[in-house]
Amino acid sequence: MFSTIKIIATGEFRSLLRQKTFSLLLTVFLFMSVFSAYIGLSTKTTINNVYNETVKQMVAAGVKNIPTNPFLNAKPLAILNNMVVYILVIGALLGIVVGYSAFIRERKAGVFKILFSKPISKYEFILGKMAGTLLTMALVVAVSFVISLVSTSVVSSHILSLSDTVRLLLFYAFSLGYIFVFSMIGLFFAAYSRSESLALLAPVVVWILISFAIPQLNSAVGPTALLNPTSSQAKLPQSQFFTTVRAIVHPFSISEDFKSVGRSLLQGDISSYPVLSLLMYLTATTGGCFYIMKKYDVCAPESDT
Amino acid sequence: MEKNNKAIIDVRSVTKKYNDVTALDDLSLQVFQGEIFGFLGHNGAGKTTTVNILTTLLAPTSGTASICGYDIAKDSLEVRKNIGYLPENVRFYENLTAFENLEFFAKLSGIKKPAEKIKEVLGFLDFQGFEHKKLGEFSKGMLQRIGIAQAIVDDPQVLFLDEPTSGLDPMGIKNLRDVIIRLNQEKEMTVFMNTHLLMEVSKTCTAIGVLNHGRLIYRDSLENTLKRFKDEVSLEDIYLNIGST
Repeated sequence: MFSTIKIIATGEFRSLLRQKTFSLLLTVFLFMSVFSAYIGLSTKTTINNVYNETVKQMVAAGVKNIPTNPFLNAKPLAILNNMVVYILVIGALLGIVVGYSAFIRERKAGVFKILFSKPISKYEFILGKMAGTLLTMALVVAVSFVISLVSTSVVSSHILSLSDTVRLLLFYAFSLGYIFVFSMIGLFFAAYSRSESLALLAPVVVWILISFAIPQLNSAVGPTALLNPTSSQAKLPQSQFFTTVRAIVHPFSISEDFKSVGRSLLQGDISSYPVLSLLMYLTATTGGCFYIMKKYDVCAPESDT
Repeated sequence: MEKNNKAIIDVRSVTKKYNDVTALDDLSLQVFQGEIFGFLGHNGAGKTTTVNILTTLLAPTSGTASICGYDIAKDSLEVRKNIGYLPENVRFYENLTAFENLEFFAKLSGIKKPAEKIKEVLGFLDFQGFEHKKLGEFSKGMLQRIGIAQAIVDDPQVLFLDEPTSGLDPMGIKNLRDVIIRLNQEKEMTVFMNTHLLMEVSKTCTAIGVLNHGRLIYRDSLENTLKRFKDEVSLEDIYLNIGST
């Protein structure tokens, strides 16, 4: 069983790496990783310049109590805050494309009949697709992790401590989980929909709902703060209506949870880790997709006589 | 290859319905080891549905069937280990080379050393030198060869061919016919071939079955058929004679 899953997963992995759409999104994603560090470096330079200029003026004015450089108090990983947003947007789209491509490939190629005349079960096929998708996304995230690790060390002018490295690793592990959820959604629609364009459009609509609509309902008062990696400072309304709406939609607000986990990990603020809800979402999505695909005969050939 | 009395394909009272349309109606059929069985019928007679059911791609509405003693419903994976299948209008992953496609399917068939086996099969088919070309560049005849290669890469006992000569030029048809006969004689494969080309049946098959509106209306060896309908000028006349009865 495992060897068949491995064969399908490896085939999927190799095929995705040759796909143009995937290569384009991967390039954008990795560029964003570098860009995030550049923004961090730019921020550091600006703050240092402003600080040095201010210190000069304060010294010239005879001020003796010079405040310390605020950049020195920032956590080294905080310069990667923008990665939270990039993963929220580009990462999720990349996940959808990878998941969609995984199932649409066989349909486009028209190889289902040959494939299922071989001794493989539908379980092995679906698990192989999931494993291939996960493997591909893991590679993307691993490369992004290395870029972030190197760039953060360069920007902060010293090698990251072990705890920061572990925190960065955890951040990317959760990012992988988040992207994988969207891969499963893409995979599910590609398997279910008869139309290729609908198969791609439907998960994008779900992505918009999950990433933008539901969090707006959840936060109610801070919709514009959604894409801000730092939490909204506005206090949420406490009326019964808002409390009820939040209670209903919060379990579906994965992007908010991801943002919260990401921010916590990068800024060293361990006050909130909604890990459980993220894991629950991941399990429910993967399990749900697997169950529905098992029930639905995705592999049956056309009813030609 | 001489046939023996062991039914390698055993179909019993199989019915397949697509909503209100009955594609197969109480089909019972036996194909014996070593036969090259030509399954004749007009378009829409139910030939492809029969092959889809026998290759475990489609579940029958009722009835049972077994291949090499394995039930198609209960032991579908065992059935698949013993069959090769070339669908009509065979298609592959076009962004992969011929070798990569064959390697993928060979691995799925459980071949431990796929490269060696692929070389052997392509040698048997006299089709070497194209392995590392992408299949998007292949002609219909070349694709058909790769289709045969993927079907026989694990030396199956039964080979299912669905309209294998469809779209081939005369040379391609002759080559394919030679390959089918050699597979039967040299590799002892039982061949089940859907076709509506009577010329092919007369030159390739050892037994025929005729399907009409989902019902098997005739089944015998080619030799007996030609004896029985000795007054008919051609196999086409025989087919029309059977079809009209």
